[in-house]
Amino acid sequence: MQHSYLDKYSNLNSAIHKADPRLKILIALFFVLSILLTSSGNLLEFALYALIIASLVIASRVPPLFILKRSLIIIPFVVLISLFLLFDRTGLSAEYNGRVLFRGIVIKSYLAILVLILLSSTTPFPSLLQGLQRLKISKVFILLLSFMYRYIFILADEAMRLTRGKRSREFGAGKWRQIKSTAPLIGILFIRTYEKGERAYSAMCSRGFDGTIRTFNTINLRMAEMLVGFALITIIVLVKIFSNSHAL
Amino acid sequence: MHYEPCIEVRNLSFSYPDGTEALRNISLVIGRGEKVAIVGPNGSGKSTLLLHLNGILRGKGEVRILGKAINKANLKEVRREVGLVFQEPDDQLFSPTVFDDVAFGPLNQDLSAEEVRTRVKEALQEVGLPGYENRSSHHLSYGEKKRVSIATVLSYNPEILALDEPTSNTDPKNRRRLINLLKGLAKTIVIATHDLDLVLDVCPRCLIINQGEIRANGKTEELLTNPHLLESNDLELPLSLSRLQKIKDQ
Repeated sequence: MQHSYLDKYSNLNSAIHKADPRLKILIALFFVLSILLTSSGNLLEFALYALIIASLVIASRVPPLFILKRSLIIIPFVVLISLFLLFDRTGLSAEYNGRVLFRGIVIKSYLAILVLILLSSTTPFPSLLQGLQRLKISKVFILLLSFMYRYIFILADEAMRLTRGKRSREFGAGKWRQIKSTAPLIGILFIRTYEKGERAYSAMCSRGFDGTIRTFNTINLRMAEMLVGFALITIIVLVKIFSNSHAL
Repeated sequence: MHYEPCIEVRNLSFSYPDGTEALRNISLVIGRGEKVAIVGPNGSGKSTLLLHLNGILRGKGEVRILGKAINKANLKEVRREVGLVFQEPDDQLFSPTVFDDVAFGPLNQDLSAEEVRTRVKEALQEVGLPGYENRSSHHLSYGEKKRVSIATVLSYNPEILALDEPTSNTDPKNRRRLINLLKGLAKTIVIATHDLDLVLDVCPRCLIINQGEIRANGKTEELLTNPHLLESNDLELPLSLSRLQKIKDQ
């Protein structure tokens, strides 16, 4: 079965793609934090951040349409969660009424997701994991993410095959019966996942796994990247200071 | 040639937790450099036996690898000498990239980074997939996955290779490639399979097991040409031989 890559376009060859994943992770984190710490009414600041993201996307040579398409996924979740704010008539104050908060939350999450999509489409997933590891994130957590990356599509395939098998045989059954037969399907998927985990663990043990995760380092931080990264963080800080003293 | 026992199994029995008796009193000796097939129908205990060779499963009885009985203390040593390749490549390949998977064994031996890179390169070369290091396993074809699976054990250079159905689900071209690869390897090789033509091609010796018991043990050309023995164990003459037989009859 064919699925799109989780990290499509991550093997392009721009300066952003070549940069050390640790640096990219840290900058993305800093950028997301700055976005989240923006006051909901400060449209100027949001606009400037959007400008920074747009220039990064252009520099990365990832097709902007791809990023836009992918970013739409987040909208329904955010809207669903923050919808009730629209009906909040009192608000925190006259300026921070429900409508402003709702708008703020939608814009913030959208900008943040753009930053993360940019990160994942300029960094192959394995490098991202290596970056996290070098940043001293717990190895167990990294191993979990790496298994997820390896097996998520296999499980999706498995689920699809099960559903196909069910559909091919459920002709004539009533709606209620069809719904009822979905439950065991989920159970079977769980058992298969569990067994797959056991077999993969046996394969690891067979090749000498003893609980310690060994990898080796292939990433190096270059001075020039460091300077660019520092410049980027400075720009973000400057945007924050500027837009807060010139709030609309 | 001096016969040096490499794998010795004595009175091995094993039951799964649900009570299924998978192995009953198995005894066998395999010499260094021998290529032996374990042949039997589905559910006969082939895979279970393979899992005992590197101590993943531990039944009643004794398994000795290169003269040493497997116990808890020497598991790591034993696993270094027995490269086990699972039937399903998606079980064997659990890392994000081909490189990570092939490097997994050597890394667990604490080899230097330089050495690990060389080993990975050589192993991929050997299975005919040079330059595949940065590919992600998910995007390989099934035949490629099967070959990478073999590379993941070749990379740490074990004395013994134990393969579970190496040719299952592969197209003719990939199957031929795998057979040639296995023929060319100067190692002790144990293959669990019901691809009898593969056995004729690669393994001079073969064991027939059924319902957890060894039913026959001897020269492949004798066992696999005995239709009565094969049929009584839910097998049949290898296709190549049965065709030959038909021509002779005509």
